[in-house]
Amino acid sequence: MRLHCFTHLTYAAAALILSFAATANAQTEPEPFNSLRTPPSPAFTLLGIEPSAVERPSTPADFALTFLNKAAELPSLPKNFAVEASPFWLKSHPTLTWQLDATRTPWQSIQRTFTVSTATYRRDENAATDVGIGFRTSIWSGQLTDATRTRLTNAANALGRQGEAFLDLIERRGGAALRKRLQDGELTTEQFNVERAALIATVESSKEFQDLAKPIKDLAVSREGFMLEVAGAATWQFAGEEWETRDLHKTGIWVTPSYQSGHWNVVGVLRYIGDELGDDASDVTEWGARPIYTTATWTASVEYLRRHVTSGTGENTYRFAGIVERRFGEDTWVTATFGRDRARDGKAAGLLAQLGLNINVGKERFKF
Amino acid sequence: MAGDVRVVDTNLYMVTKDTPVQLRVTVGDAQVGGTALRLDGMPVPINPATGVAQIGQPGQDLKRSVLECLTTVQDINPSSNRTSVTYDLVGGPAAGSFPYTISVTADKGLARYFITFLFDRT
Repeated sequence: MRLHCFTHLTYAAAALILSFAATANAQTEPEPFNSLRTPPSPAFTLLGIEPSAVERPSTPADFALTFLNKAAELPSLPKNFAVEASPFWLKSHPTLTWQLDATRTPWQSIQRTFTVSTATYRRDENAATDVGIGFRTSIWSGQLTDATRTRLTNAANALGRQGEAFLDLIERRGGAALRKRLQDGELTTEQFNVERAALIATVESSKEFQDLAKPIKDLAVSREGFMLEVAGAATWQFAGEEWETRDLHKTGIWVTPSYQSGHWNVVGVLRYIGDELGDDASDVTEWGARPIYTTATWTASVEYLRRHVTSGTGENTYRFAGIVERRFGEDTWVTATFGRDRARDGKAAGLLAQLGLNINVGKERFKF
Repeated sequence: MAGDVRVVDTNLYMVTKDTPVQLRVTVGDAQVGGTALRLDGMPVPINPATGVAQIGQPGQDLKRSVLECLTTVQDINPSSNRTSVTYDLVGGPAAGSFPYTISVTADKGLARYFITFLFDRT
């Protein structure tokens, strides 16, 4: 049975690889490949959850309101609650153009990429609630690629031309007469705003407008150069949802240096996960690297990850694998992984052979 | 389109007799945008790189002229759906700065700023 499955897997992997030959010469700049970076929400990762609803307030008022809404559940802890926010982007930055954001000093990078995440998760199996808090930031975040700068410049020009066509439509459909009434003093500015808004709405519903007003596609913003991301998180377990019963459960620190240039991306990782509770409490340090080659439709990489158990149960082990991904359509990825998996749960290191399908992935495509 | 939003506003700006004004349009919050201008219904060129345009010519009286601006901003910032545009006018007795901000309701959505300036003189 195992040989049968392995044969099928080999054929599937071969088909996957053959399909790459047809697109190996793609010239399109690859989309940002950030699935190997530090977890975007460290608190969620350490809790081992994927929240179905994450509050992402966009203003300081929204942020406060998010917590006030949950205060109604006090003195007990909220059952399942997740919030993630980027403090820098909670307020407007009217003078920060995309051109000024093309390169960042370390302090600017830290400010603009710093996020905090917090979550609660109720575990039905032991009637305890886990609470996690985490942060993430990039000390270095590279710079916009030349291709991205060109795309954004072209996009700005295209949006300007779209605006010219729209103004022309408005002018021809009553805008000229409306403007004359303003100039002649027949309308106050408030009255003009109301009538102009109505005229704009009419033009927006026209077929002419629908044909010309489309968002610019293929505006993936790519950065290249050296990047360094760090993240940290801690979780506490509250047995019976009482404050006094809190116990530190897990801590985690991630450091991810990487270098992106053209189709190549080399990612390194150093991470520490400490588990303080349970019979198999342990502290684990992992380090490794992965060079990745990416095109618009496929990626290929080799991964080495070393695991060192500094305390507790478990043995030192490592994982070495080749990973190939192929994109089909907009959001569907097929992943083939082959290599040596690390020892797990008391079992010896084994063969790693996986074929996976990810649809509509907006997060990590595979774990590191 | 879903996620598209708009801002409509009109402002009064005092000008100096027979003197052109300079407009600078700044698209903030690390978003991308382009601007189109019409003065009394006629297109006015704007430098896309600097966002600067000269409104009127030396000797041209801008009193009761209407400048219509349309800035179309597309959300490209993965960290924020907020857009902001600032219109700065100089050349009259006093400079004027007119900031606006609105958030798109969906990623990669468009925000359109329909801002009109009515020029006048004392």
